[in-house]
Amino acid sequence: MSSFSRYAVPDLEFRKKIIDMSQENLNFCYQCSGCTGVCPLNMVIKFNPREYIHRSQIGLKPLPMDFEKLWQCTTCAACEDLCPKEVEITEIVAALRSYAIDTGEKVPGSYTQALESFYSYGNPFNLGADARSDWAKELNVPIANKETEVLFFVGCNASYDPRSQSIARALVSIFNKANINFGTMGNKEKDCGNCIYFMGEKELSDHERSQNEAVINEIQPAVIVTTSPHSYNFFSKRYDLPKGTKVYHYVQYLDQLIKEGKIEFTKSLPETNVTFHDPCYLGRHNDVYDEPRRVLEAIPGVKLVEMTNNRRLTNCCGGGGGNSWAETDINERLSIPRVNEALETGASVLATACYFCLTMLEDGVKGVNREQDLKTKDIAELVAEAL
Amino acid sequence: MSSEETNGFNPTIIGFYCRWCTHAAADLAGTSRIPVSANVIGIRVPCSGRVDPSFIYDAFTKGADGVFIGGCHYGDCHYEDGNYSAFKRTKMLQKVIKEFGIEPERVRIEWISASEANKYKLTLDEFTETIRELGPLNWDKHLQERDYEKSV
Amino acid sequence: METGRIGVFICHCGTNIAGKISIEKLMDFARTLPFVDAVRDNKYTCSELGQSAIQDVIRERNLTHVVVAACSPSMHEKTFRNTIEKAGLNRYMLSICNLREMNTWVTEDNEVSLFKAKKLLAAAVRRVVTQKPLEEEKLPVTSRVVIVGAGIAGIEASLQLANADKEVVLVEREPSIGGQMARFDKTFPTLDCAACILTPKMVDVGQHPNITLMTYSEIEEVTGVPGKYDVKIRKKARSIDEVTCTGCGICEEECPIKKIPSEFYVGLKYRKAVYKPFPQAVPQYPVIDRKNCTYFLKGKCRICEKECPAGSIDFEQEDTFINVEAGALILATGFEPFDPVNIPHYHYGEYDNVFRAIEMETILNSSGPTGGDFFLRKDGKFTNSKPKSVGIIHCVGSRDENYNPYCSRVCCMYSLKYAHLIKERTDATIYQFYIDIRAFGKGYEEFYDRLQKECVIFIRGKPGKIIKTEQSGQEKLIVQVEDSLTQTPLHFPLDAVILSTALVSRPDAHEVANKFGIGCGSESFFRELHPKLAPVSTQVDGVFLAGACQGPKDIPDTVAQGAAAAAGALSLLSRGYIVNEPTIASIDEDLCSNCKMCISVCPYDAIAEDTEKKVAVLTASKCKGCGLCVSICPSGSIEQAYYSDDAILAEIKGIIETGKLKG
Repeated sequence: MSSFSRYAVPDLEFRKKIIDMSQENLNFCYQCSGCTGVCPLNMVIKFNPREYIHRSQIGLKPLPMDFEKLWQCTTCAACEDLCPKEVEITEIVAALRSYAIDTGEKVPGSYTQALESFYSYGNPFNLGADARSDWAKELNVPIANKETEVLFFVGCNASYDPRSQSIARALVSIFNKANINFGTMGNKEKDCGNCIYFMGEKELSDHERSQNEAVINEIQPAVIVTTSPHSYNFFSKRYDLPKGTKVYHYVQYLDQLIKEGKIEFTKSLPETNVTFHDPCYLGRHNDVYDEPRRVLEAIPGVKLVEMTNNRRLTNCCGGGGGNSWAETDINERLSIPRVNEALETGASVLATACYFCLTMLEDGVKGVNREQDLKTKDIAELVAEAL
Repeated sequence: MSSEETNGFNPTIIGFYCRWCTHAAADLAGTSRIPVSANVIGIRVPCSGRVDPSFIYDAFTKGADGVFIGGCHYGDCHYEDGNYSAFKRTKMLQKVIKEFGIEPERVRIEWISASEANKYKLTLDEFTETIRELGPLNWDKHLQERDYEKSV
Repeated sequence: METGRIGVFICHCGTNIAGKISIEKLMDFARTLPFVDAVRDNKYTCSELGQSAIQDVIRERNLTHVVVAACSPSMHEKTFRNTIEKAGLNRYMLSICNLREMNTWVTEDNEVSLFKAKKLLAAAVRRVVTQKPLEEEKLPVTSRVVIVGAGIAGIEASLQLANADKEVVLVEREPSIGGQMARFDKTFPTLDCAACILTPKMVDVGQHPNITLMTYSEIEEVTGVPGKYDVKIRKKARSIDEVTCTGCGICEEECPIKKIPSEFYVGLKYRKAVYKPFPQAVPQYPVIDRKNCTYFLKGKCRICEKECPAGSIDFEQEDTFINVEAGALILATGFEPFDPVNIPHYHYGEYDNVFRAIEMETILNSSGPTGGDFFLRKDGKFTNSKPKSVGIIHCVGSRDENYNPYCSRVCCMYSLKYAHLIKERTDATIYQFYIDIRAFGKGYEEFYDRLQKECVIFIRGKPGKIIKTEQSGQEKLIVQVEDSLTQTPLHFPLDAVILSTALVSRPDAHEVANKFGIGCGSESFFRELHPKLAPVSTQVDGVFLAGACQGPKDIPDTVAQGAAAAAGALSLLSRGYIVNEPTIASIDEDLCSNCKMCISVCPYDAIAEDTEKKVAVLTASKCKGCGLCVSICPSGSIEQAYYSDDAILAEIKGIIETGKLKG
């Protein structure tokens, strides 16, 4: 068939692999291109989810440069939220990344480093697994056992990243003040598996998940509270948990504690306009929109002001899908337009409920040199300040 | 024809529209909002074959600058072959008016079916231009010129 | 000399007219016109309020004539005739000035539009005073309907009418009823079996006491007037005595001529010279194909005659002509599948495994050449190997200015249906090469969704060509296409390609339309009276359309139209009369010079010579009001009601006396 060599011949094997790996999600797409129309990445780079889907549908591998670009997808699910055929596009992205890793396509350096660190240490920071609970040393955080009611799942960033550790500490202080019988998994905690799943390392993700599951099965907690919406997402959708164990993201849990009167605010913050950035994995992935707002508004002194793009329309911070550990050119950072949106509201605090969002947005504020005007805070930190 | 006379000349054109085809095409042009020459004023007739040569003659004597007849395509006539009669008669009339000193191009017959709103528009616009170029019908002058040519 | 008290009613039509021209100025102008007594405007003259306003003014001012300046007369002439009639005027004392379709909607400049409005209005006012009271005649309607074409549209219409106790004569050109649908195996989107839903209806038609079924017959001529048409039907010689034939099929078994390509199976199967087109045919008796019968060709054989136990073979039979009087006619003559042989890019008819849609229907049909299985062809014959990959090319001959500019409406869906059926029967990989997927009907989008989930691959692009290669002795077709969604030129090596061909009008559509006095649209489909509001009526009273003869459509729409056409015919028959427009000609005997020119031009033999008086005499009931005689009469002795010379000359006068527009 060499005389027709200028024409591509579709590769049905490739198509079949992606169909299998994406749980047949490919088949549902009718190419309306709503995904590309809504994708926030197009604010900073040219990115066409529709074309990835279509090429896979008809058996055409993405071009090498497109394979590389694929890593910039933050799996924020803006596309899935709009998709009229309910295609789980993030599953297709994950499938294509798996395929890229398996077939030796070029994976950009910073993602490779993070993945390798996950392999070696169960975290993306090249830090020892035995250092996971170092942040808690001075706080006397109990290690969960069979008597523990609430298992606090800290997550990688809150364990190792100094800025994110502040969230974990805030939560510990809240739990203590509310007299919660809680504990962590200590150094037995592995990463939750969510990020590496969407980065395409599904087997590693399975491995980490089952290790966590084994520990949790021993503890048999009534409730699991996660710091990260990413962990919450994976726990609530993919974990095989003991019967009766409930999973909450901490804002949901705090919302309950406030409702039940277990948290009493003793201090008032100075009159503050706070705007809230919906984390993608809390909002669009899991429809948790009201709880963080209720918690924020319960804090004395806080006045909530919304950005134009809020709730389902939220724009991504740029940190999902492994991108918080990657080096991104400043012109390609999604956090910059998002921070500008927050600045437009006139709020002095940009609150969020996810350590990736917090990291990315804080960088964003620095990127536009507005640290004086806008503080980035996690909701847990704000709550702890008012107790 | 001097340019002064043609400039700003807006001819009056009488149109005879068969009710089954061209009149319906005019309606369709309307519902499709297709702009059409405003110089042609249509008169509804049951069939292009109803157009009596005396109507055309009458229109010219009263001061029309052109006459247009719109009928059904061959084979589509609601009354079998009224359009054939209309065609033959128009051809004959064109010869006669030439004798009177009127340019035969001032009479035009065209088949426009009910679905041909675009053809309706194009034909009328084009015919209006033709008449505009010919200028106002100046019967006396035309006759004089013809007599002069004959005498030469 | 004309005289009268004219009322002029100018309609704003919301902003359709008033948004373009100054109603005030037009009203001022109207007041200057002769005989105008009252000038009124109204936001919506056609509304009940607008109509009663007209009636009030007629009574108040004792009006004699009315001009309504509004939309096209084809919209509301009847409405306003009724309005003025209710106020005591004769309904023909009305003239409509078409301000909207002929002016405000098509004129760009506001001033020019106002000027044209004045001309149109002057013409209407001038004309209306020439109009005289006319009486409409009620013609009786014969309580019988002739339906032409016995596909699913004609079948549905027949059953609806027959069940309403009306007499139906159903005429079908082919030896059996059933039409195209009888060829289908499954129907989209429900995938129910076509035969299972069609055959019971066919049997009903065959057995219904109110339906006279005339198969192997054609319409020869239609004469008469609305309400009382005379339909001359040619019953082609079947060479079978229908009274004695039992349909046992022995003649067909015994016939030695075996290799005649079957029309029903589009040449993919053979039939004999005496044959029944397909197993479920209605009626069950066969037909002798005289062009291929040995007896008719060579004068000997007659085996069927010898073998027939009922003695029903009749070689001497001749075409017969039957005249049927009918009050309404329904045309349901269907469509023709487009023949892609002239599209060079796809090599249909040249490559073994390029199929067209109607062949695919036949192949997938369990009574078809392969018993419903899809086998590849080699050297024109079916093999026993099934395709592993099949491409379906959409819009072949549709949406294509080279062939047919319109969308055929059903191809997307039947292409999806093929994908499902072929996958079910061969497990092949199916590719759809489409331009747009148009899944507009109930359950269609869901069907599309289902097929996507069945792993059919959709390539957006019109294939540029099909290239033939060979792979281990088997033909392999390479479909060359650009996937427009990724802008990638692609080659798909496939085993078979199906062309989803257009639905086109019958080749003799114009001829048939002429017989019935109706028109054809630009694509030779029969023209309906109004595309939205009168989709099954035609410009001829009492002639209705049903199904794909009016334009491509799917089975649900076709059946709906069949029923709608039946309802149209039924309302005519139930009312029992038809109103004949009184706009006919009349002859003044005193002026007639007996030149007989009128007699020669009249298309309806309505004029004859009174040999005693030596004048032409007109039979009013035969006159349809074309006006041909009026315009040809050299002595001016013929006049037409409503479209009188006076009326038309008055319009010319009105137009011209309004002056010329300054440039």
